Amino acid sequence: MGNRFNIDENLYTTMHKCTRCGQCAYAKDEAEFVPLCPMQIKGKFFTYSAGGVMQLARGLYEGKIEFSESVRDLLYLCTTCGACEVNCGVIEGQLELFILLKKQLVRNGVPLLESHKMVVDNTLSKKTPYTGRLPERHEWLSKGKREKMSPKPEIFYYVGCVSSYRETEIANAFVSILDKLEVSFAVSDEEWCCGAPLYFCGHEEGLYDLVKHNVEIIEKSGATTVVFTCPTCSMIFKKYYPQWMKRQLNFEVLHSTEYFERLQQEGILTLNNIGAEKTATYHDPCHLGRGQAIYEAPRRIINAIKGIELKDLSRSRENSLCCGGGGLVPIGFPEFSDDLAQERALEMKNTGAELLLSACPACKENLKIATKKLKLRTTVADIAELVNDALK
Amino acid sequence: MTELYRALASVFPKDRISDDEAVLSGYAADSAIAPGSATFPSYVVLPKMIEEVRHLVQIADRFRIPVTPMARGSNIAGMTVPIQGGIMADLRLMNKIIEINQDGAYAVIEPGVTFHDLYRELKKVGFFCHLPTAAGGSSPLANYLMRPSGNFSAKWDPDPVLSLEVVTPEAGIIKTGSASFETAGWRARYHCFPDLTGLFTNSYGTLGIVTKASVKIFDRGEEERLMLTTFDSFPPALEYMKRIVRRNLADSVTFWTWGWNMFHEMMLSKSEKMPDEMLKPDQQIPPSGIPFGIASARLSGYKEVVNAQENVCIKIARELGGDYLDNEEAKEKYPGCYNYLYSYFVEGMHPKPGEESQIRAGMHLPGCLLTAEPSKLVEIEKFMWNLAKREFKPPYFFRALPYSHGREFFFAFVVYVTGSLIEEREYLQHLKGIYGTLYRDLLRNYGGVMFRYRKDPTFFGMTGMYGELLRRIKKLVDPNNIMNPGMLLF
Repeated sequence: MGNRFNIDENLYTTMHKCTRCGQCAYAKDEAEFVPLCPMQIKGKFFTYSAGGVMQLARGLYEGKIEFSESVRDLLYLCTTCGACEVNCGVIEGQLELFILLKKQLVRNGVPLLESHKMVVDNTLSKKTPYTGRLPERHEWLSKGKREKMSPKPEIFYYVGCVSSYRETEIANAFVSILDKLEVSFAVSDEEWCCGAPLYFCGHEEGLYDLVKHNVEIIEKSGATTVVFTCPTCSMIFKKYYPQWMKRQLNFEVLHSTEYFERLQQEGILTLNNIGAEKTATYHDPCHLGRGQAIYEAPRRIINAIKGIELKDLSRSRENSLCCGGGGLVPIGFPEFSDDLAQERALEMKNTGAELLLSACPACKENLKIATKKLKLRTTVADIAELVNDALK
Repeated sequence: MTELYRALASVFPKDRISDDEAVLSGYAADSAIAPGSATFPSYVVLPKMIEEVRHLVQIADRFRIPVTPMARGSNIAGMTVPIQGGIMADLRLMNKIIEINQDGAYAVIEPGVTFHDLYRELKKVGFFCHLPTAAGGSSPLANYLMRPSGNFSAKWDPDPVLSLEVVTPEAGIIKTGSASFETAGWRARYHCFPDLTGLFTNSYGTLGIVTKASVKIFDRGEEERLMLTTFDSFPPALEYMKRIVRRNLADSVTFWTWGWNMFHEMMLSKSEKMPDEMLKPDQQIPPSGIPFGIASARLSGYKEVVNAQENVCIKIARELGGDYLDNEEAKEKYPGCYNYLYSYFVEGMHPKPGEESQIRAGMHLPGCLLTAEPSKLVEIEKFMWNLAKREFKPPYFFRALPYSHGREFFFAFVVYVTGSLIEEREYLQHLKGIYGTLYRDLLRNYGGVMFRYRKDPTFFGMTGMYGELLRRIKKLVDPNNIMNPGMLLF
């Protein structure tokens, strides 16, 4: 038996601590004990859970099984929602182990899924995971708003790929908020993908170039605060950029909901109403909630808008169910991603809410598709859009 | 595609059968399986109903291939690892609570039901279930079939199983207890014939696959109370426990030595680093200002009765030199400990799953679990401490835990050793050797019987005609030895 991954031996010791209790796949609120792990919901077999992957990792480490396409197909079903990390009482760093195994798959020459390979190729060549003929990255930004950008911005708005190319109304809403509040800001046409797609694919090559480039353009802008409407990007910046850059960043990283709250506390942001009384529910994006422990700021913002009645979901905060939009699962396993999104959208609809809110462009996109397929008469929106509407 | 796969695929849809080695790897080991010793099944199936289980067993018998049943798979003893390969029957999708009978105080459940599921449903009607130290995600049915100690194990006997439904290795379906009569219901373990539920108890899936069971449930009553008493040494604490059990004063009683209590504090503070005191060489003496241990008893029933029971417990404790520890004082002084004990004994839910492995700094060795005559426990405790001092390499953390188990006592010793599995390979091998002879020494010298079978066939030989009869029964019900072979005695 050899150390086939060249990993920390403590990690191997940790793998042996899994008692296969299954808690990693279920909500922490033990009185409820509702399923949370998308892999387990889909795969049903025990192995489709973080506990199962601990045993899989042992098998790989000990050479009992080989890195193969079937290992890949199991691991890439993980939406990186992090429910396992929150709910396991024994082991920490499950997501890191998933990534480690994915890296090993790549190093061992196991081909990526064709759709994931395309994501990697696009990210490396076009600096965005998206394929086909794309508009300019910030084509969504109107000329008028572009002119309002400051050469010495207070805020650097890192838009992220989903809001740049797909959910552009989120980007527009955020810029509109900054404009209304007269905050000096900048976006950069030179913005590149944050690197999350490469990281989640286990593809290390080229990752550092993206990271270095993004840090350079931000630092060059002179802004000391970077705001993100995408929680995946902000999580990657907060958690991993300093690690990959091997230094602290010279700017502060904030998600838009944290930023809104700060503006509120400083008396800069005052929220009115959105012109109608509505009931809303809020879906905690995995990378904002479990990924960055931001649960209350979004709720406080929603509650500050007059006329909005917020109804919490039973699976919320640390117990939030993934919408299926993370970990490149919508690209690799679209049907599975759709199923999850539909389950979540129905859950949201069943609260009686008319407005299904989130604070993540990928969640919005997935939930929007789901509500359309389910023919639900609801509106899916990002908190930034709601805030923009409430700022007259 | 093999002929066997085709046969299985005729019963199970594609998404409930797998021969994919990645999927199979999840079933190849648990935390008790030593590095490099994982054993893979050839197939895993997910039955949803008894007919599927019956067909599965028929196929396995036809192909002479082993079947290892697994309810939820949570254990630290390798009981649901397919030692000889074959088909893994993962029963997690058989997860229905079929009946909660408040009148007769029992519930009928399937093997995939978890403690969480059962707790949640019972709470709605003012009942709860016997809770052993298993995690919330594990199966009550599977746990109860191994007679675990828990929060009701003194007054109510740690035997919550009543009637069973079992698919036998020859694909028959039998029901035991009152359920064996079609119209008698699931209410009782015994009727006018010998007890067959007992045959399947502690059989670890070697005699059939249990697909349904009725289990005792408990009315929460008017008052539930946690009674805490501190003691300065082991013998008076044990005497206190014995008197409580003999006089039927509490639902259960347990003695937690100071290391356990510090461990519970760690759980609350989420501290990962064990305090130095927990790793000191002489762990028989507590750090200054900390009691040697705390006895916890669960009291329940009508308020007047609970008050009287509490007074009697205080009286016994004082006679033996123990000190009554008020709940408020415990909450303030030992919040983690109080939190754990209240949640476990009064609320009926573990505060955290898998907490026994939470001490991340160390490697968890399989515990030594045994039952013994109450009179022998003080000597056994001394023996185990001496063994630890002699054989374990410091720093280690050693825990001893006597627990009411019917009228006898369940005794657990758990050791955490520091270091990594790879660095400490030789040392672990040495300890494996120690554990190999430990149970024989305990049986020979103190009459201590292992609580879980440790795959050492020499013990079977020590049981005389009992073992012989069991062998004959096994041969009769499982002539082709397909059920979990290698796990137990066969």
